[in-house]
Amino acid sequence: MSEPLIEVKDLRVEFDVRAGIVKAVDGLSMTVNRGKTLGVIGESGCGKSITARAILNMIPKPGKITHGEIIYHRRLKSDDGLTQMDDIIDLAKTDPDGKLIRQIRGGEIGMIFQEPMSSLTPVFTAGTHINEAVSLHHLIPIRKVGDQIAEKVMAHRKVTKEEARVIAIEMLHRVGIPKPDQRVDSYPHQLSGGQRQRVMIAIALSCEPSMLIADEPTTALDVSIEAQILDIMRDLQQSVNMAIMFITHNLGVISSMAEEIVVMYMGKAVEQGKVIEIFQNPKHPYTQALLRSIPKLGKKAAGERLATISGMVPDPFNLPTGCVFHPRCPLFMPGKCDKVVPKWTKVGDEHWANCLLYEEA
Amino acid sequence: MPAEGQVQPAQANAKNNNYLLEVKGLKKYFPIQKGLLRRTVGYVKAVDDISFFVREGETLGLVGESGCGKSTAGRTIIHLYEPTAGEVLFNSRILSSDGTRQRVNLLDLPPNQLKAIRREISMVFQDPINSLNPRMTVSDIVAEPMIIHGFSMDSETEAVIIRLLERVGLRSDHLRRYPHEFSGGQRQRIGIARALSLNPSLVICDEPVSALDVSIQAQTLNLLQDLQKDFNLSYIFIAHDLSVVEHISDRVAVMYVGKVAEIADAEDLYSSPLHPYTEALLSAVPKADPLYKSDRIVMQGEVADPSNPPSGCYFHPRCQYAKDICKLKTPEFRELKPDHFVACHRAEELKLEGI
Repeated sequence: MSEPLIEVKDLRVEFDVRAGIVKAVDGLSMTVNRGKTLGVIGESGCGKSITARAILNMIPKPGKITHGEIIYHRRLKSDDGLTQMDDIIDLAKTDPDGKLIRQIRGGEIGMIFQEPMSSLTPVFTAGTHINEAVSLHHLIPIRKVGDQIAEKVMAHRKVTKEEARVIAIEMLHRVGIPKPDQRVDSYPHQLSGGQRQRVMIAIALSCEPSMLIADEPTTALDVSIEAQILDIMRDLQQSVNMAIMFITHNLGVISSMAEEIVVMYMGKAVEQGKVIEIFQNPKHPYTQALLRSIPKLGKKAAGERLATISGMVPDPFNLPTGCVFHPRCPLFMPGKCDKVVPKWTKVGDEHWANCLLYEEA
Repeated sequence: MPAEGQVQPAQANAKNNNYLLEVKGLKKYFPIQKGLLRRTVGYVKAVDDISFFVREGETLGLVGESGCGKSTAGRTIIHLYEPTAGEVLFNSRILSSDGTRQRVNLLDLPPNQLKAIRREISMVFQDPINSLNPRMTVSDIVAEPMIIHGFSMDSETEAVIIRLLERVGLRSDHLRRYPHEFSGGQRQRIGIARALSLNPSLVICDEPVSALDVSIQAQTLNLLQDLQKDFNLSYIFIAHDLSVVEHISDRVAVMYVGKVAEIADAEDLYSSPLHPYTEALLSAVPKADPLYKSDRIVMQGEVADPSNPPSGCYFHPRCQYAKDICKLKTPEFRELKPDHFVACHRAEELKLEGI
């Protein structure tokens, strides 16, 4: 029933910096199915955003995909929409500046990132940010939003300028922007944060992609606006049968959006399963600790303390041996967890974990 | 009501003995200036007539969407912004001669007394990167408030600093390091140590955990709770995350476009809200429970513009219960149940759903 769209197999992404090699993604495997939502959760620095960029083959320098495959099951419709052609492409092997990946990026795999105000990463130079903005996924401040949508449509679909403008207005309407025929001529600074994020969604969805990568799309927004945006994403997903890879550290958002979840820690998937399974029956000690450490709404007990994960995220240049989580793990088994690297083990129905606790059973 | 608001000290002591801080009718309007002559053409009513109190040793949570004026309220209370009107009454330890607390209005204190009182009220800021000077060492940062208030940098002061750092979970060998050498969570601990260096009784925490990852957030919240017990602190905890606020607060105030919509005991507010905005806000929060399904109230439109707010109740254009009176009259902020204040015309008749 579930048909794979993107299969990531044993992906490794390394950053060769002066201080050594950082393994940002270290042997990650996962599958995004057609028309379904896969949630990716984890704390900052766990490699979730780098994975998203690897799928689009746009790892920032000095990073590089050193191992693994990203299989994309491409389905192209002919211009009359009657026949379709299936194709299998390894995105990791495509030329990052080539014609093929540029067609896929934005056209077949859309993306929404965090609001630019809060998405500046200190490891990138200002120049990289500007280049990225021009190339894809940020709004260009000096151009009308309608033109930016229309240009995107024209780059990926055979339409005239007038048709593209009509599509732009239609998209603005679909994401719930009031008076779309006027707003199409607004500049980004004339819109509020929530409206800008809607325009980003409109741009991402304007070419009806088969997959949308949403990297913390609502983190910078207020809860009432967040609820509106999540509703829009769900509606549009149903109407165009689009897969979503939803990256966030907000466990509340993920539980309302995704069917399946991957939990990441230090570049590795530590657990994967159905949302309900993960929330009600987490297997990996890291997932258990993460779920316990968030305050739950409406479940206040007087003087209650939150559970915490002891210690800190390890130094990326000096990773622990064995299981990378063992120095912080409450269920640490001496002589085992610090020596043996755990394997991906089935722990339930469509539920896997990367932990030695479950390997022997 | 600046004129009639002067409360007699004796009367106040009898009635409000355990109120550490009382804010009455506080307003902060920022002028909008235009043109060559910088004429004032309007005002952004960032904080528009709010009143609340903080009891000794308790945490008052202040929640609301961005731009609702919660941070401005925090800063106006400590007099970092010059208020437009209102009173901030504070029970001061320092300004009293006989060791008991003396009630003073922060907003009409002479500068030297205001400076003295800042020892008793301190602040923790949101951004752990920008709120610490990158060219100062940890020891300088934590010592700075003490030096401003006349302590000399001697071995005694240093011992105090080391004790503070150890108390917030840092080590004494961190003393000579610079902020960039620390992680976000550790930097927030430095900010907390700085806030406590003068032994305050009230700490205003402005989004102290919003920039932190969940596991670090949990550690920081636990630390704040422990410190509250140890030092008998009162907190005003400003945040937009409703679950964090519920976790840490004894009472919660909900703000909307410069006004307080509702204040109540945390449990009461979350389980039986009286204001439609509180209800909608609670319902909009995504629950970390995949089985939780409810009819979410999706608020239409966006937060009103504080420079051009709607008539009557500011929330009426987004309120699903709004009636004609809501468009015409500003609702009065009143105590509907003991300790449960609300500003809504229809609060008595509505049956609202909490969590």
